[in-house]
Amino acid sequence: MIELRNIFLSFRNATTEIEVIKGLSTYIKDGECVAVLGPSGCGKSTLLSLLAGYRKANRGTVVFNGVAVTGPSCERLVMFQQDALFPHLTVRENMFFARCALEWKRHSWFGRLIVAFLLSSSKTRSLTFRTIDPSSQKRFNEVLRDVGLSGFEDYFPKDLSGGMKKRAELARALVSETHVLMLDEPFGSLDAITREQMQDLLDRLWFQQHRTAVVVTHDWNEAVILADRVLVLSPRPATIVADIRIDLPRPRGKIVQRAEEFRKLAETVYDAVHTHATNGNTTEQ
Amino acid sequence: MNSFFKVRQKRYGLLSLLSLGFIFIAWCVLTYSTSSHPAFVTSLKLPSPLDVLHSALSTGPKLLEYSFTTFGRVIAGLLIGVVFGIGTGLLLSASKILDSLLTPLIEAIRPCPVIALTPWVILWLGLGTAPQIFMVSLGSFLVMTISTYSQASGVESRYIQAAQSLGADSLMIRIAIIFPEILPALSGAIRVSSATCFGIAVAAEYLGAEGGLGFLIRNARSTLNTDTILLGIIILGLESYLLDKIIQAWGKSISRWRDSHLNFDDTTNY
Repeated sequence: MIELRNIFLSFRNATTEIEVIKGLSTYIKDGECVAVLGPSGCGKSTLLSLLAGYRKANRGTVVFNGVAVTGPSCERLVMFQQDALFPHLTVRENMFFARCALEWKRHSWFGRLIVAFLLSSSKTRSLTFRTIDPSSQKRFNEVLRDVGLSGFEDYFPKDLSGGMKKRAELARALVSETHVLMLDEPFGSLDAITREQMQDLLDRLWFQQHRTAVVVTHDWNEAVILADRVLVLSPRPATIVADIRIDLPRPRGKIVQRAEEFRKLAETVYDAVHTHATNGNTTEQ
Repeated sequence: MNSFFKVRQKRYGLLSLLSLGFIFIAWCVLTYSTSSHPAFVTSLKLPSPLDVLHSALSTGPKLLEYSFTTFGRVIAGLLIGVVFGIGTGLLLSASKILDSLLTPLIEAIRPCPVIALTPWVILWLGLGTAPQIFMVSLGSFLVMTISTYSQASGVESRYIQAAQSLGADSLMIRIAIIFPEILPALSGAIRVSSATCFGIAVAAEYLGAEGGLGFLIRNARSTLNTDTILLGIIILGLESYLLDKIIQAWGKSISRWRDSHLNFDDTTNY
């Protein structure tokens, strides 16, 4: 359960102060997928970085499972629009890094130093990987098969296509055993076919397992395909202007997408975004 | 495709031999003399290749010892400087407090030539190997600290944020993410500082040391043995070239994750 309690946030530079989020309160239940939708520049990504803990609110708190969020944690994993696979690690090593980071807190400072140095060089890395963690090899292979990357485990990110990078990142997220997946316009840079495949994959591997997710997007169709609940934000300063439940069966393949209910819901979301987008603009002028 | 690149590479290799060969021939022509025909340049101003060879043979095993002494000092100093320099650079990039404490100090020392410190270093550490290595490592330390610091601050924030949200702390991010990621760029800085290191090592030997090529050159200078001076310079050039090639090969081996396959000077097999 994530709670946002009366969040206020503004950006300040030398001369001006811009109010980004103004009195925003909501909650995200466990196992729920929430899409955050809003006009460009309204503070969607900022809201996500608040949830992740990269940024602090001026007023109000983010509460995760009863504890106030003070910084980034492995329980809340963010996937950005641009892929953030570590470029010097192969796909498998990226997953291995996630495991090491997960067990990081258990080591003493001396153990941490050793693990970090072992991870820093390619030779010691593969050695550590083979000797220390044989049990997770099996899990890695399963996950790689699930995301459809079998055979590419020893590729460096530079040799993967855009869609494969997304798959690899999803694989890394899956082995990291995170509780909440946060996606910041994750498939914006992909072509239509790959995007559909990725939505499908996410649905199968994450949403159908009833795991919590927050998706920031500007595509209302994608929001309706992915989410259980759509939050529509107003233009800056952001507040929630609509909270729409999406009660559609999963998986939401072509059959569901062609149904009347889907179209109605998509239209509701579309209308919510557009009426408030224009409203906001007129009040700004 | 691969064989094509290899052929190209061989051709380029021949080209670089060509330029060296040209200089060698010019050297031979300029210094050629017979009993009836004096050389274009006197042997004092430019000793002939035979003179240099002769001086190499007459210096004998001492020459080998001096060459190894200088090479060893450079490598030891370079290694110490690189390790501490990268460590300090990473520390400075991690902590604002350390950054504001130490950066002014480093910036103040940097423009000062390390050689100017020789009298103090000799006073404190005496003559011998330790002060030589100290000066060489100081030279590479400063270069490596600055370049590590600037490279580390240039690593894209999304990698750091991704590592944070996987559960990594600052220590893990510095050592396991930032360090390997900037290492290919740092190998270039190591190449630059290795050349500087040779300069410092020779100059330091020149000013006060026993043994080493700088020592050889200084002794030859006092008796105007220009052939021995030239010999020392040639050996220095060869050593510097060798070290540079070693660092370059190492740099290539660690940047496999970054380089495109379609690189003309790529020798790895894909």
